[in-house]
Formats: sequence, C-alpha cells, structure tokens
Amino acid sequence: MAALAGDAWAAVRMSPGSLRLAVPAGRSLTLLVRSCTLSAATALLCLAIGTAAALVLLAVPTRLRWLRMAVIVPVIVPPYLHAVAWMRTAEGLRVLLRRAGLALPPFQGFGAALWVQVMVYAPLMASVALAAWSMVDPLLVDAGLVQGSSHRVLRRVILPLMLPVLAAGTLLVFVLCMGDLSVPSLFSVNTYALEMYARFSASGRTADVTLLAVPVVLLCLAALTPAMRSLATVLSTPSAREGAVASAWRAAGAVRAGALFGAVVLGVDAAGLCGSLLAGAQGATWAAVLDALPQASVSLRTAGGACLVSLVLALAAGPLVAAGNRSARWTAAFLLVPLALPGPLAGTGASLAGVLAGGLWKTVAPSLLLAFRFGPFACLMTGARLARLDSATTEAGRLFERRRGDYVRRIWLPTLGPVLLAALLLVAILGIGEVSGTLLVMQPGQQPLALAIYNYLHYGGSGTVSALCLVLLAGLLALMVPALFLWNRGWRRA
Amino acid sequence: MIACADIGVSAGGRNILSGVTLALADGQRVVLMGPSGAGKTTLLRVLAGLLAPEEGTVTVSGRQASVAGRVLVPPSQRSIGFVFQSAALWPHMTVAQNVLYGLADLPRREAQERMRQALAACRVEALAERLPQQLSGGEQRRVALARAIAPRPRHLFMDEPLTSLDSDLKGELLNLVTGVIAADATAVLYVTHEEDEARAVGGTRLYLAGGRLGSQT
Repeated sequence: MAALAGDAWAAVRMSPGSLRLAVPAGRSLTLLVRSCTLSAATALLCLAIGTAAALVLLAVPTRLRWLRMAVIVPVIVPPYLHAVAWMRTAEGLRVLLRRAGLALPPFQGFGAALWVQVMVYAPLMASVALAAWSMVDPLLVDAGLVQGSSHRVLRRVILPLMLPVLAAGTLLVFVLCMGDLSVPSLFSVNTYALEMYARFSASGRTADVTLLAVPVVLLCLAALTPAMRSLATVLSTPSAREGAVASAWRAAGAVRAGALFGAVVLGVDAAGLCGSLLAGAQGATWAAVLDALPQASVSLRTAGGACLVSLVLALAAGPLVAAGNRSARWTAAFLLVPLALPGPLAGTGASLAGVLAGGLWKTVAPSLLLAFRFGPFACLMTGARLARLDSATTEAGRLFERRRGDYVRRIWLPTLGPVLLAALLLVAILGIGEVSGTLLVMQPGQQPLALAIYNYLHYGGSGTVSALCLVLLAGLLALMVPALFLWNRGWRRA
Repeated sequence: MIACADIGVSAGGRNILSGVTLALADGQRVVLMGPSGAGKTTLLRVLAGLLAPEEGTVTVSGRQASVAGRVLVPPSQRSIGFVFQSAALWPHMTVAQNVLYGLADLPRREAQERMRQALAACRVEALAERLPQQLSGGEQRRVALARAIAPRPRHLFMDEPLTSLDSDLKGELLNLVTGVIAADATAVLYVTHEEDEARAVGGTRLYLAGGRLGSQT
C-alpha cells in the first residue's frame, strides 16, 4: 500500500494531469457503472436466493443436517471453477436443444457473468443468512408466533432482526464482485477491475492503476464501513449453533415456495459443479493430473507462507481487535483497507514492492500478497474469539499458574488454538483459489494450480482443465473439513 | 377451554413429559409447580402450539389443535397470551410497537386504545416510545405482561415471569400480576417454583416432576 501510494504521489507531482485518472469519465465511467451494476445485481440476487435457501436449510431434520454443508460447501470454490462448470452445463444444454431443433444463444456476456457470479456468491449469502438466523433469539420468534402468523413473524420479527447481518453480507458480496476479474473476463464482460489489470499489463505503469482504482476503493470502503460490526459478528459466530432450531417458526405458503426455489438453485449449482467437472474430467489422463503436481506444490507453498504471515498478524492484531476500545476500532478500520482493495490493485502493489526491494522479496511476494488480502479475516476471527473469552476463566488461569508458561500452554492456546487454526485454514483456502492478484506477482516457472487452470481456460476448456479443477476442489475440501471442525470445537470451548 | 391428554415429549433419549393430562377451563387459574428441568416450560410450549407433542393431543375450545407430531392450529389462533421467562421483547420495536404487534387485526384506533389500556394497566404508559434496551429489568417485565394481555386472550400462560428479579421488585410485580389477573376473566396457567408466587396467584395447584403431573400434597 505504501509503495502504491508513494508511486502514485510521485506520478501526480510529475504530471498533475494524471489525477484525472482518479475521476471516472467517458470509458472509465461506463466501466465503473457496468461494474457497479453487475456487482449490485449479483449482491441483491444472492441476498434473495441465499436467504430463501437458508430458510429451507434451517428446517431440515437433524438426520439431514449434512444437506446444509453440501449446499454451502461451494462457498470455498473459486469463481472460475463455477464458470467452468456452468460453461460446460450451458454447452451441454445447447447441444441437447439443438438436437430438439431449438437454438440457444451462446453462454457469454453480461447475463452469463451475472448468473455465474450469483452461483458463486449465493452459497456465501446462504451461510451468512444461517449465521444471521442463529443470532436471533428463538424466544423472540416464538413470542411473535403466539400473536401473529408465520408471514407476519417473518416480516416484522425475523427479517428485521437478521437485517444488519444480511446487509453486511450483501455489501461484502458487492465488494468481492467489484474486485474480481476472473468471471467477467471469462464471459467477455469488460469491467473496471479488468481495465485495471489490462492497463497494468499494457503499460506497466503502476501509478496509473493506483489512480484508476481510487473510485473503486472509495466505493468499497463506503460499502464495508457500515458492514464492519456485523461482519465481525458473522465471523465470530460458530457455523452450527443449535439455538437456531429451537424456534417453532416454519416458512409457509408463498414463502415456503420461494425458499424451496432458493434451495433448489443452490442444489443445482452444487450438483452441476461436481457433475460437469466429473463428466468433463473423463477425457483426462492420470499423466496430465500428475503433471500438475509441481503447480499444486507451488500453491501449497505459497498458501503455507501466507498462513505463517497471517498467524503473526492474527496474534498481533487479534488482541487489539478484541480490546473493544478506540484502538480496536482503529485496528478494525485498518483491516478493512485490504478487503476493499481490488485484487489487481493489490497484485500491482506487491509487484511494485518487488521492483523496489528486489531479491528475496520476489520469492515471498505471492505469500505476502495473500496474507495482505486474506490475513484480515484471520485477525478478525481471532479478535472475535478473544473478545468472547470469559475474563474469569483467564484470570483463574493466571491465578493458579504454578509453572511459568502453564497459562499460555494449558489455558490460552487450547481455548484460542482451534479458532486460530480454522482462521489460518480459511486463509489457505482463499489463497489457493486466488488469481486476481497472484496473476501479477508470480515468477515465471512458479505457476500455482489456480493460475494454471485460469490460463488454460482462456484456451478453451478440456478434460485436463476439469481434472485440475477436481484436484483443486479436493484440496480445498480437504482443508475446509478440518477448518469447520476446529471452528466449532473452538466455540464449544467458549 | 384448553386441554391436553396423554402428552409425551422426549429429547436425547430422556422423557421430558410422559402421559400428561391437563385441562384449563375458562376463567380458571392453575399454578404449575415443579423443580428446574421438570418439563414445565415444555408443557406450556406444547399447549401454546410452539412444540408438537410426540404423543397425545391438545384441544382448544373442543377443537383438536395438536396431535402426535403435528400442530394443527397455529399458536396465533389459540387465543393465548404468553409471558416468557425472559421478557422476550423485540429489540427493534418500541414499547408501543411491541404491544401493537398482537393487535394487528383490530381497526387502527381501537388497537391504539387497547395498547394504551394495557400499558396503563401495567403502569408503563409513559414508556410507550422507548426501546426495550432503554428499560430496566422490571419495566421490561411489565411491558411483556402488557403485550400478553393487550389482545385480551382467553388463556394467559406465564412462564416464571418473575424469575431473577430482586425481592422488592418481585413483590411489586407480583401485586401487579395478581391485580391484572383478578381484573380479567382470563384463564391463567402460571408456572413457578416459588411458594409465595403460587400462594399469591391462588387457584388449583399442580406439581410436575419427572415428566409426570400430579396434585401437590
């Protein structure tokens, strides 16, 4: 960030006219409006579908609880994997319809990008809605049911109580869409994030990208600031709190139909994702998959480095976030900035810092970039957990400590450890799937798996791509399962 | 009249209610006593339609309202007022809005009048525009009572409404509760494990222990 700011400042001093880049006009204004429209439409559709699906998932009986996970797991799937799956599904549909004498337009453009983005982020919104519901006191819902119908309780009690968290989730989806270039680029939709990447690729002038990014960063900061408190609450909520099922409320009538539709859409996405990748991978050979091992190793190494840096960040910033005073607010505000920075801009910053520092920096830049982008999540999760530590427990731990280090080893670490590990696994999951920033900092011959898939996609899908996607998906799932387990275990100890 | 017969509810392999039969006639007062974890709240939830029994039936005014595994008549159609153990006031609504919630099917003017009457009866009319978090614990309990009585339900369920209050406040609120009950012909099912509350409310006393119901000796 410092490198970007310094570079932009120097450019403005040399040529004050370059400041005009920061004011959208003409083509850049058109792109900004398109990006905002795409992101806002995605966020609102995700809100509707995610919330509707959550209403169904809440009502599933205990023995079918795994359905929640099955529908929500696509949260960890990177956007371009969804894009591959839907490209294949649409192509299959086109072939089928052609046989029936019907012509379907190509799956390209704004509509296709919107559809895929909704599929990407709807599971995230469903998770947010489930978290929002778990924060609603079941007794408040039951109190409503005694005096009003199911619809009235939803409208007057449940939705207003869930609103802050739902709004935070919607704003987060908006910000994530604004910064992502992978889906729009695969569907030939020119957006502002893509323009930033294209400008850097074409001219190599980092200051131009920084100045160009100013409106997007301001927009994203404006969107994230009101969402911050709710976002921290969401991150501090265990994923499977039982209180949520205690209320007698059930969706009825039209609400139930809408909720079922939302759940079906998520189910279709999850099934389509796995189905199309499995079908597509049948043409691949084991040799092709084995060839990708070096790339998988780069991914793991880079994500591992990001986890180490994030661990240091979380241990340093977590207690500050948890303090609940002015420093907590400042720390939280500071952590917002990386979240508001579009991927290409963060990548440009890391690349510029590499040019300035040289040597070792170029080797560690990808890990530092991932830690910069996703480390704030680890800090917020750690802070949220620390904030909920029972002060009496910690004081008792210190009071009864007989050997130096006992408190840290036997009280602090077991209490915080699972959540910290879950947070680091989340960083790894997000880091392994990231392309928007790493696209600009990876060294030749050091291509991670995600980038390899993304590059392959531009040359058209193939069995190898599907097989690589499956390898990536399996890797992410292997990280997510222990992350969820640790997260819940950490909170059970709360 | 609200009644239940042979109600059975279990959770985690443990019987919470077993063969419970109870009838609450119009205007009758019943005090349900028993130790913590005896199933008192569960029984209220079954009667209110917030929980379907695993066995047995619930009838409201002679009409089958719940059968094993199903709630046939939703809670809002059972003419029930419910005062929960915690005040359970909706934090995003003012006191007035909390009370007006249950009066939505009345004409606006009449609903406003009923709301004012209920708040006055519970001596909280001056707090109408406040949010629940701006009220003290005692004031919240008063508002919860006002919300429950405002629609003039035929049955009023009170689930340990004075729990975790200090003794002075408890005495004051107990007077209010008994006054409100006496002023209405509402049937009252009052859950408590405090002897002084049971004595003040009066009426029939039932004892629930180990999921089974009996008269207290």
